[in-house]
Amino acid sequence: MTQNLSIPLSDLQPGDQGEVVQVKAQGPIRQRLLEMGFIRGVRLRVEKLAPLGDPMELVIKGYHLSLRRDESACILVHRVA
Amino acid sequence: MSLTIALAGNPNCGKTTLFNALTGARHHVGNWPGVTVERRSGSFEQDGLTLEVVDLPGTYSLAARSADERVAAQFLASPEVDLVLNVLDASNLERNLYLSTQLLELGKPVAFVLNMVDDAENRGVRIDLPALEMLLGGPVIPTVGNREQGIPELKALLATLGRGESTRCRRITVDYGHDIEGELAKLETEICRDEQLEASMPPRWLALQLLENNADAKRVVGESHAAEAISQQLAKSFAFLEPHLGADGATLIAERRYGFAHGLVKEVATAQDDRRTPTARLDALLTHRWLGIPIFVGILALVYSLSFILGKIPQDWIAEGFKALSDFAGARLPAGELTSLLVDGVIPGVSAVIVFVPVIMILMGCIAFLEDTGYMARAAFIMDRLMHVMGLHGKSFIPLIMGSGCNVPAIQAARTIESPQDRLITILVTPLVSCSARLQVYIVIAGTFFTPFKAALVIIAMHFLGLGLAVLMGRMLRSVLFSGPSSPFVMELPPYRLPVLKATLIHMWEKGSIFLTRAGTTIFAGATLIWFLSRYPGIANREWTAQYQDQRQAVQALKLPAAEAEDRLKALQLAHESRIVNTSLAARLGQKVEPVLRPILDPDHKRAEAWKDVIALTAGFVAKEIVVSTMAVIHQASEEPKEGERLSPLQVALRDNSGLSPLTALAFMVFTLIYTPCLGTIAMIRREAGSWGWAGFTIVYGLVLGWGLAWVTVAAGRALGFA
Amino acid sequence: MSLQILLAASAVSWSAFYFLRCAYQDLKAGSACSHCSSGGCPAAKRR
Repeated sequence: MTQNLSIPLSDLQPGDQGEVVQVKAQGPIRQRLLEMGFIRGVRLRVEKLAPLGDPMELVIKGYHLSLRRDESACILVHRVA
Repeated sequence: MSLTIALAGNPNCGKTTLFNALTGARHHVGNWPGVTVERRSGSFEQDGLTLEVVDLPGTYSLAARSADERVAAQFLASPEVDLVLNVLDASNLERNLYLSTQLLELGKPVAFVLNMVDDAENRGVRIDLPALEMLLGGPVIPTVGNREQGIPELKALLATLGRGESTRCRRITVDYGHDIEGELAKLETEICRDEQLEASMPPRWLALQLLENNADAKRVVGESHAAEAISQQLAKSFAFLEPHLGADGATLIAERRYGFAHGLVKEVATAQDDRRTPTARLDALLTHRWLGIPIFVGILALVYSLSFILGKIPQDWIAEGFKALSDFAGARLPAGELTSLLVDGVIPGVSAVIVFVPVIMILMGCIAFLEDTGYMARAAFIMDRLMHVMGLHGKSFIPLIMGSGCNVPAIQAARTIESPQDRLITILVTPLVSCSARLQVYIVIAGTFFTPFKAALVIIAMHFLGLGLAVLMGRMLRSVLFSGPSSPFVMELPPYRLPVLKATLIHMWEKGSIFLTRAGTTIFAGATLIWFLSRYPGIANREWTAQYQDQRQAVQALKLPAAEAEDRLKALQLAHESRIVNTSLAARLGQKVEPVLRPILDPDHKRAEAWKDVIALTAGFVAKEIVVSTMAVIHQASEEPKEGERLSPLQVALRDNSGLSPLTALAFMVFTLIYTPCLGTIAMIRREAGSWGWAGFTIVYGLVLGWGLAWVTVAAGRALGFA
Repeated sequence: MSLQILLAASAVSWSAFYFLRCAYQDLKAGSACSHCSSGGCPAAKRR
């Protein structure tokens, strides 16, 4: 069941799934994120965190991607069960 | 008649392997003009046609933010390109198609290669090729790049297209929806007011970029005489679209493109199996929370050991070869300036570096292999947190690690870093890492002034000092010179793949030959100049030469046993050279400069000949390996220890005669770590950073920082009570 | 003997010239010149 609360992607833990609501970042990072598939409604899954705690590895659109914490904080998602 | 084909595709889609398969050995690697981006071009013959292929850097999009994307976008839009060959990774189709939508908007015919179909099939993905062709509007050839399957069909297709005999390339574009299409049409009308602008690129493509808020597009428009009209229409379009559709232009366009890609993939491909892929299983280990880092360290250690151990064999051959050359020249050529230039200047200088080439090549080969497997992305992923502290990107770790072997290939390795700022900072900071040549200097000096145990500690401290300084300088450069948001770390973790060995070997060879060109020209030139400075005017002194010859003849006339005669002749040679070097221009320079270095090398003003250190340091400018041999000449003491003795005569001379104390020796080592990297490094910095300005900056900051830290070492040491 | 001096002197002058020329090309072309070290000055070749 989808909750209606938007939370930053950085709040998700390994194993959680989410659905993108909005990319709040501006500038070059915004374009880059959009191009890599962070569009509204896309499903993603948090795979794991790096050994030192940052960055995080996600699965989105069928491939694996890594994002730093401060980058993922700019992406709002709905948690999905 | 020839056809120019541009190869475009995502990073990691096997494009370069395909390029190699198409062009074989007939390709050329250079640079795109004005940027440090590699340009690979080659050609092949098919059915009487010559087809030229240009491999573009892998890009996720043509939005032209990074140098790679810009280069790709500009080239693809240029009239030089007749056909675009889009390489798609079959196991990652949707994201790959994002770039395809942009390629289709460039107005050139596009053909597609569906690469890595074997991978896709293993994951349970089956693709309906005819459907794909129809929806993409261009021919699709399936290939397995690293097994060369599908290549003949591809070549035949390209030849057919080249002869204009095929109608398989239609023009498909993404439908952006009624509202956006409407605004695009209006923008195109305004753009077409300027014929030049209209001719330079497809108006629809420009309009799309404007809606995406692309900086380059805005700049191009700004220069047009229709700028006013276009900007007004653009503002109106934004004002309409955003409230109406609920998001800004860039988001809307990205969504439409992905909508197209997603829909297309659903039509033509079966869904992926969700079971654990081999990649996921490997990653469970390789990026494991506790095991990840030790494994990474282990792999690095393996790479290093392999390079140095395997590389030692050719290294020894080359060293012997040069020594033989040197002996030959010394014995056979008449004594004189040129002979000295060769034997004392060029051969030692150049060989000190060339001897490294096998090791460098193996090291670069291993790194290239790891990169092609996809492991490097994991390494960057693991190390990023640490690098972020330094103000750098995870990928910067590799050059820093390689720097401890040799700074030159380390700087070359910085090419994999996409962001130009991060790349530049990494390049400027890598020379601070203790390379193996500096290690040689440390070993000799530390071995002289400290007990073996303390010496080891000191040497380890030097390495840490280097790394620590790299961190500090990295942060400083980032905040002072390159402030602003750090570039995104967004990085794909590609599936693990076994690289084609041939590709790795080609890569290895390319990098190795670049390194060789460095040694060939710049070091030759540098060694020559340093030789001049350190041998003139003594080398032209006929009287001295004559005296030396007389002394040699006297010894030979004594008919002593071979070993003793050898020793005596060597001693004479050393004395003669020492006389020349100690009265040379470099020596005079050393004497002039000495007061500046006095606070670090001779704080108590007790050393009459501290200026001799400067000569050795000047030689170190060419290659750090020469510092020790130059000191041997200056102090007239051999650098090789006699049988059974721990210290070499040079070390004894340093300890007893030079006036250096453990503290000042430490300062000397600190200075050597930092002062200025060797010529090979400088030349490579110049090449990778793009100008002599940055190379010069490295020299200057090295000297200043080196002096400063050496001074701090002496001051702190004294404050703590050491002499 | 004088041949030696001649050759040695040419080598030294060439070396000095090499550095100066590359620096000059670089300053003239702005920071666009990365060709010198990749084996060939573009001023001499066509581009």
